[in-house]
Amino acid sequence: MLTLIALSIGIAVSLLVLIYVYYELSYDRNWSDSGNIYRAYSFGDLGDDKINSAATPSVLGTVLARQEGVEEVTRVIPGTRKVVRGEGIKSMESSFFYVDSNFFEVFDLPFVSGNKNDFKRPDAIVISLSTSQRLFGERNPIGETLGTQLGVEYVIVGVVEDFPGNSHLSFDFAANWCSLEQLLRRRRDLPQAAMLDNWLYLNTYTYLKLAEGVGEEAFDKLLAEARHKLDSSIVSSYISQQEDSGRVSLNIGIQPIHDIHLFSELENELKPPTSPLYVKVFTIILLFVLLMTALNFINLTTAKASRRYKEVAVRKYFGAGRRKLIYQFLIEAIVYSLIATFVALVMVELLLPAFNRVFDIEISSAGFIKQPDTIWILVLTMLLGITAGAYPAVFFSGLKPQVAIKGSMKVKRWGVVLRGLLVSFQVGLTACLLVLSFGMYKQLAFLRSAEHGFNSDNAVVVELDSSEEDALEQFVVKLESLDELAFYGRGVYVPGDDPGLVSFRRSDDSTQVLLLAMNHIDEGYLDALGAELQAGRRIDAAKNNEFRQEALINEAAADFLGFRVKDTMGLELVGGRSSDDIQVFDIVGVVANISHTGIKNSDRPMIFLYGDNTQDVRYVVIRFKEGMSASGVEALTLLWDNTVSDMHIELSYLNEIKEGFYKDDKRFAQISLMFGLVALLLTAFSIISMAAFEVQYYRKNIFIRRVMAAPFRNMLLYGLRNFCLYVALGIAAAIPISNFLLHLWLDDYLKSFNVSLYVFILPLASLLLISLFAGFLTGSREIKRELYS
Amino acid sequence: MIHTRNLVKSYRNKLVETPALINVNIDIGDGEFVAVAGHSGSGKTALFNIMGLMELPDAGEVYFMGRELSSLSEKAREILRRGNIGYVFRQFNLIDEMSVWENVELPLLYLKLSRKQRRLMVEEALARFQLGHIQKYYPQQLTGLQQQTVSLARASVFKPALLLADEPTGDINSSAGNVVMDFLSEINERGITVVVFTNLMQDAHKAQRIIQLHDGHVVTDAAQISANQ
Repeated sequence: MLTLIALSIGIAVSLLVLIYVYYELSYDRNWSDSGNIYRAYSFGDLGDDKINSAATPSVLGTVLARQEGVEEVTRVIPGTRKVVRGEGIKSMESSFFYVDSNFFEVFDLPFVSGNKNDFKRPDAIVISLSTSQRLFGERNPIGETLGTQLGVEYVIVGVVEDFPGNSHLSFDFAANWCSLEQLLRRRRDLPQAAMLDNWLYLNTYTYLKLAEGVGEEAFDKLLAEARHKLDSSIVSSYISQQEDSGRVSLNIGIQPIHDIHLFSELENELKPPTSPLYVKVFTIILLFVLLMTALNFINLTTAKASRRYKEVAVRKYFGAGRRKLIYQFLIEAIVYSLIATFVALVMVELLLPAFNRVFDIEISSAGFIKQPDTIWILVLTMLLGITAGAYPAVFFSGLKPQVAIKGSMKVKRWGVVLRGLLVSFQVGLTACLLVLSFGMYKQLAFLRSAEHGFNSDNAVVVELDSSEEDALEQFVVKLESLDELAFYGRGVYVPGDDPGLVSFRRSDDSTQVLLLAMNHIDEGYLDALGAELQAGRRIDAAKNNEFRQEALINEAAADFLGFRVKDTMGLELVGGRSSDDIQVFDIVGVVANISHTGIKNSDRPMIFLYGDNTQDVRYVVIRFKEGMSASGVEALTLLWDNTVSDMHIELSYLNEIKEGFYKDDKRFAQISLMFGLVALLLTAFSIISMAAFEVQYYRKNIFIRRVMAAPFRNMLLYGLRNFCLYVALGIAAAIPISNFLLHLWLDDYLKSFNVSLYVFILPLASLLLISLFAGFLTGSREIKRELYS
Repeated sequence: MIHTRNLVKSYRNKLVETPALINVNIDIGDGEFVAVAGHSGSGKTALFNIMGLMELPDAGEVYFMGRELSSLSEKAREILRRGNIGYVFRQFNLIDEMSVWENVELPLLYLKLSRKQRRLMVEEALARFQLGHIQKYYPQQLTGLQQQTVSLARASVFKPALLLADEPTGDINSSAGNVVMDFLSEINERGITVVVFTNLMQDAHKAQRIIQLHDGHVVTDAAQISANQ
């Protein structure tokens, strides 16, 4: 039973890890001809700043479509959150994309209903299956009309299956870009109109399908011939000098879509990529778990076989041939393996939902069974059975029955040493995993407690999502009436967002283009966030006019500009979001760095401006008085419900947003701990086998001690003295290895906690205690069985 | 049935060589009931192993069912053993994971018999040894006498030409030992040659003939006049 449990657990864990690794490696391979699909990206120099973005200018698509070697070009433009209306439908949607009419030729997502050819009409829209079920229920949405805030109306021409989980692309709505393009051409006054011809407006994801045989290298050559320089209209509008084109350039590269998820180091990805390090780590874990499972199985099988010594002798006496005995052992081991695999598959089925949650993936059991590599694990299982069964099969079938019939198998010294080394290896491996996971949790605690530039206690963020603009305005005004309120302030971005970049130049040095993240805020924003001014003063809105504004920058911007914090006052910057929006900005103060994505990443240089009501202000940050958060949230929700009728309040606690920065770190710490515990379990089986084996080896000497009336404790310690050494050896070996691995992990972080002895002591001491407990419990039982039964 | 000529056997380890049998000459005919008696170290076990075709002598000849064995390979001896020799051991050596039925059936599994044939033979053996009521029990649930009885049933289920019993009463009390010896007599009366190896003279006297060993030599080899005869 012990063998079966150990083997089942090992196979189940191996299968789950294999699922994860396969899932990560299979990203974006679902599309037909995915090997020929590439994504364009932007890279370049803007003065001393670098661009390295997955987003490209919208105009690029038109240029690429004319290139030799390109079969198709299709663009994806993520839309902003918007209210989508239809018959009986009003919903705030955040996954609304605009795509070229040939999108479904390149990404052949199956149509559940409707026809992909109908997507060529300019007002076509396609929705995902889950969106259709959410908005329309059982109703057929084909032919239904949906409208948006911009006044554009779309006709639903198709319902597609949801994007698979292992795709970097995903949307609920895909509207034909043509209708938006036509609108923007008519309405050049709209800020978004700049995307039509501005090469610095990086908001489009451009995909191209290359002709068969045209690879990345060949395409790069073709592209070099058509390389465009920066659109100089933005630059020339506010400088009087000729630009130095050598210091301002935008280049385009392409990357295979298979590489996006694991190997893309670009900014502005549609979906956060996964570091290939994690896949490598988990592949190594997979191999280790398989190895430990195999070794455990062989260990336990041979230990079990030794108890059948006499049975083999009797069978041989009565004429059982060697071949028959070999077959018997092999078949037993294979059947064992198959039963264990079956149990493992059941365990995988039961654990899959929790596994999906922890690993943040979406694998169904049907999807898992389809993986071709699953067949290989079943083949491996058979091989495992044969390997484990081979040793006892060959060994026991060759026994001299007249020797074996007399008693139990004589345990050889090398058998004890081999098992001991196996225990050392497994203990060492388990120790490494436990130290690593403990270190990860320490790092997580460090990250959470570090200074983030804002106070996350007693504060919430409310997203101003509604089509009822007046109601929103009323809501904000009425905030002042809340007794629980300490401060409130509005901003376009809050921590958790990745603010967009805007280009600026210094008024006294126009040669250098500076990219700063820009946030429009109001006078209450910094107090609401609990962010501190490091130098200078707050913005005086009275001094702002249409050409000149006061601004704040953060410490990272001051550093970026090459100034000490106190010396930035009086600095002037020139810039804006579009060529029609160029202003001069007087820097009047420096704010402490406010972390928007966590302290793992370097602080982005930021500029803060006061916005007016026409700005796209999305959030209000509300800080409650000490101890009044709970009642404050209640009052806030009531206020919202009484004021805004079309949407429920979208409220996030600032400490939850901060927690979200380290979601991945937490996930990997949990995974590491999980594997550490699995390794501990597998090691325990090995320890049990080793302890029993060692008692057998010293059986005679233990018996003599018993005859001499030695205390039980004395017999036990004598019988297990080598066992203790092997456990200690494993732990000792694990210390430098786990130290190395931990530092390797922490090197990925800009800031990390100080690794002290404490990180090692707790997990290793726990492991030592558990190992000794398991060993001594087993040894004690074995001695009693041998000597007292 | 089985004959030995100038049999010599020694056991060697790294340090010493111990002679077990020295020029042993024995003739056992079909249907005999013979006891090989001697103290511990007299060579009984060595003789048991050679007669049981488990080992070959260092010198001399062994004939079993007309065949000389010294040139036979282990495989050939295994084939010869199968179905022709039954074994009873001092420590019963039943298989704990098998029921009484399955233990008795074990030798038949290697004889190319159909399931029906095996079943009939096992049933007959169980009936003969009055084991039917415990056929589903496991060895650890049985008394010493019951276990040894099962062992006898196993050794004789396939009607071997020769049955070798190595100290069959060594691990049971004397009254149980008498029962075992009576069973062995009964087996012999069915025409099976029985050779009992024992250091208990009261058991040896139950046989028709006693061969006494001492320090590897045959000291006496005489027919036994039993009280029953």
